[in-house]
Amino acid sequence: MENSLELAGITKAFGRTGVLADIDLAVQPGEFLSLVGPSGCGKSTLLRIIAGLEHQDAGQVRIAGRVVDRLSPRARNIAMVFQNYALYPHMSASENIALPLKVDRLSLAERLPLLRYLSPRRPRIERDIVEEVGKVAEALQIEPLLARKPGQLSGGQRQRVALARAMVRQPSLFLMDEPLSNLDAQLRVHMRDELTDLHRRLGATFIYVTHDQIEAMTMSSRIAMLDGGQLAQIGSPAELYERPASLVVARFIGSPAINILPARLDASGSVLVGNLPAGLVVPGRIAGPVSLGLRPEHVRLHAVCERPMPMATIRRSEHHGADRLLHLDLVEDRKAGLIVRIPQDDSGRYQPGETYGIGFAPEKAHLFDGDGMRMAVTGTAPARIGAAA
Amino acid sequence: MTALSLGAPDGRLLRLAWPGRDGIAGALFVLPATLLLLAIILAPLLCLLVLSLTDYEIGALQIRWLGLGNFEKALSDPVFRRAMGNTLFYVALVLPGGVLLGLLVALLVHGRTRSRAFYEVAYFLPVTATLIAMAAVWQFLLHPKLGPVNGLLRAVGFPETAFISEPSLLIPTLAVIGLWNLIGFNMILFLAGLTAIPRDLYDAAEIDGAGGPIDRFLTVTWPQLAPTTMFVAVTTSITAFKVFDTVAVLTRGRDGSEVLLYAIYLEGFQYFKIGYSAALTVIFLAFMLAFSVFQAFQLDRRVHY
Amino acid sequence: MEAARISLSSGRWFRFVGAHAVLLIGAAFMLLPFLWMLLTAIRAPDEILTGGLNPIPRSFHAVENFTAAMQQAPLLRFMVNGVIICAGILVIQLLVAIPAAYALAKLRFPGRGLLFAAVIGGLCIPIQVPALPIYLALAEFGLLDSYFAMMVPFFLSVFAIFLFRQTFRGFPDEILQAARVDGLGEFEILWRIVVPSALPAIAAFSIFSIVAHWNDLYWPMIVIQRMDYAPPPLGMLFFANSETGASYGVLMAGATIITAPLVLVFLLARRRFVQGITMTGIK
Repeated sequence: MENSLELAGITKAFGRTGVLADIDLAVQPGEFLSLVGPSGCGKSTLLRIIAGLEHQDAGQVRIAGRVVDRLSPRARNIAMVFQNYALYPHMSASENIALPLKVDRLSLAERLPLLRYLSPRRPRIERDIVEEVGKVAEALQIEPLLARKPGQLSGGQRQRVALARAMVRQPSLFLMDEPLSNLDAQLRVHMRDELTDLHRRLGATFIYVTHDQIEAMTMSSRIAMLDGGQLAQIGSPAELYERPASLVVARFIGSPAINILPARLDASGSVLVGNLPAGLVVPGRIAGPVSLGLRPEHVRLHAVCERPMPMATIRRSEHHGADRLLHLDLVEDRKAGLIVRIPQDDSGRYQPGETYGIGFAPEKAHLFDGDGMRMAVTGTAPARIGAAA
Repeated sequence: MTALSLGAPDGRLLRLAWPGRDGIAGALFVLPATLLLLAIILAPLLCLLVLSLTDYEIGALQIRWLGLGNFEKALSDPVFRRAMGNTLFYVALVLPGGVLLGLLVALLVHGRTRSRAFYEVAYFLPVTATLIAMAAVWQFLLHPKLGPVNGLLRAVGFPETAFISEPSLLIPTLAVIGLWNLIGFNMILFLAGLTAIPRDLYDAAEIDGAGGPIDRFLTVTWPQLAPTTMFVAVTTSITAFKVFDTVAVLTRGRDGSEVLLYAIYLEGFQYFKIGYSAALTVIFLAFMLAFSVFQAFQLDRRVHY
Repeated sequence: MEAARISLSSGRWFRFVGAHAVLLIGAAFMLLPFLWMLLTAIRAPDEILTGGLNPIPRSFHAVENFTAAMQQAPLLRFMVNGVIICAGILVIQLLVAIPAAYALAKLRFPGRGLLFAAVIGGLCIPIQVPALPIYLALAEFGLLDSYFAMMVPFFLSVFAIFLFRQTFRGFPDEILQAARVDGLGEFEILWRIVVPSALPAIAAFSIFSIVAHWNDLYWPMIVIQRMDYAPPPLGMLFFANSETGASYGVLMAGATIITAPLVLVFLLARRRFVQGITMTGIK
């Protein structure tokens, strides 16, 4: 329980605009939990409520089993890394890192200009602080930068100093608000690695806000996706990818994005794409429009159609190293397109202009009802389009 | 905020594509400004320097070369020394008062939401008001018999005070009016500085435990305002050093209120001792340049941020 | 939870009340001269002479005071002079400074570095420095006591050049190049493309210039002897010193009239004023 986090019924509105509605969330000690969602979904606000920078209108925040709603950020024993690092520009890196410790261990009088020289114990405490700052700096390999001011550091270096400032108090909970979004692409990939590594070494709980699903997928042990102030889904990266709870989650997670084909549920519970049965059966639901989701790597292209199946023409072929991405237009409905990922292929197949039949394995398909919620597929009908090929 | 920079924007590509064209356009565009620069700044400046070395007076039959004589005379001239002393005394009162009160008002106004507009207007109104007219109002306010200030003092049991005739009170009185005229201006500058402080820094301070009002001020506000404060201090010094209008209305430079600009005005344009007045102007210019150099130096240091 | 909320809000309440108390005392100090000016301007002379603290005038004497003020001095004349001078100065300042600033910001020509250095140097030189030689020159040519004499030292504003150069520098070069490709001359580019985008800076400078020259006393005091040409501050000085106007009621009425235009403009365009200060104040 030592560094767990629980949120119960967190609700927040700014003026008349609701931002968060009744968020429940339990984070286990040592977890790396990402809060993801499109901008404006409330993820940053939720993080700031956990930090104590913002106060919820209703609900409770518990850190390590203790209700912290009345506590200041400092008393919550948390650390936070900001999007723009928020380093104090007039202080050197080491002064930045030392600040939380100074505030912790010295009284206000001992920190005031001039007055501080009166304290006999101050030099000893400051020596200890310098030592601890040195240790943290060593762990993050920023010792040579300690004397510099933030203005003289690169983005990646500032990032490390901000991390060091967060680490130095050895908090149980690290809150990170899009910490990598200001770095260039290459550095971002590298820092992803380092953060995961750091998380493993420290064993602390990380709450990580990002709008970048790749960051969330690669780093987290679990992902909580917010949409419109509500928790859309929480689960491991694999769960969100393989069993998205809603159309919103399905669309947000995965790159390139999932293909969504308009489909229809007939009275017998069979799913039709165009007028062709898709080989999926959902009993006990009212007939109506549904959406069929297919990940790009789950689409099969058939040069020879043994059965009637939706046809699509390749518009463009993109080289992505080991893979190729094909952009196709459906023949029946030229407005609907889809993207297919195939392994690199030298045989000269899949050229622009060629037409293929679209097939898929029924167990890889995702079905969403008219409200965009996931529908349980209870059975597969005898494969009639593409599925068995 | 913009920083002084003598660097040129890179126009090389442009020049390759349009050879010679912006050379001609540029020269034409700056022609009027250059001529005026020569006519109303550089030539007068040169002329001033030459005059300051002579004993030229309007109506005098011949001009003599004095070298540094005028400056030597100034140093031993009791009127000039009093003017210099009074001016520096005035600056010494207005500078800290203007900066600290401007900062205090800005800090308090910055936290207001609904009443902010009212306070902005109230504090800024004296800046827009014509100082000469308002100096006449102050003269009346401070009138020993008729003015409400003395009326109030009498009512509370204090003796009547001659703010505008008692020599030792003249400079402090002028300084109060100067502050009244200046605080709103400084407040606006500080408010702009406060608005520019990133919210993140206050959040970080809160997380680091430095969330109390004093810690916030010392960790974030004051260091972040340092460039603004430096700028306000320099402009306040320059404005204070140029004190003239209130003197012209309230005292006309009589005993105890001689200030540098009024002395220059009297010597040059009332007594027509052009050479001597020019020398005093050169001394005045030296102070102006010193303030500006100090500011440029500060601007340079700010690059670290 | 309740207790925490109450203590939090009571701390806030103290800070709220404290801030307002300090601000209101300060605001009273700032506004009192204006209030007393207005009150005195509508008071009868005998009531003024008793020097009372009573804020409410016993009798309404505004009409008499204001008529007397208008009769004793040509206040309207002063204001018309002020408008002529401010407008004349501003128009020429803009016409001179805008092209120069554009050239300094975006064009390469021989002597550019030198000119810019001179502009920076000029920023440190207030009017009081070249005043003597310019006065001598104007006297030599018999140009004293004229609108021209009052305006000429301000035709060049190095500050305007500096401010506009900073603004123009931020203007994207691509747009200028596109305009050149489209066949526009430099002059057209300046007036049709660059200037419209710099209107906020131009407005800010205009406010700065008008306030400065409407309120300027030093230079008019030197070159103007005849009241016909006096701008408001100089007029006020004549007015305040004229022995005839011993009545403070009349003097305050005059001060009210002189102060009113800029104060009214400020009240109407407060945002612009504040923007102007922050843009021109922070160099």
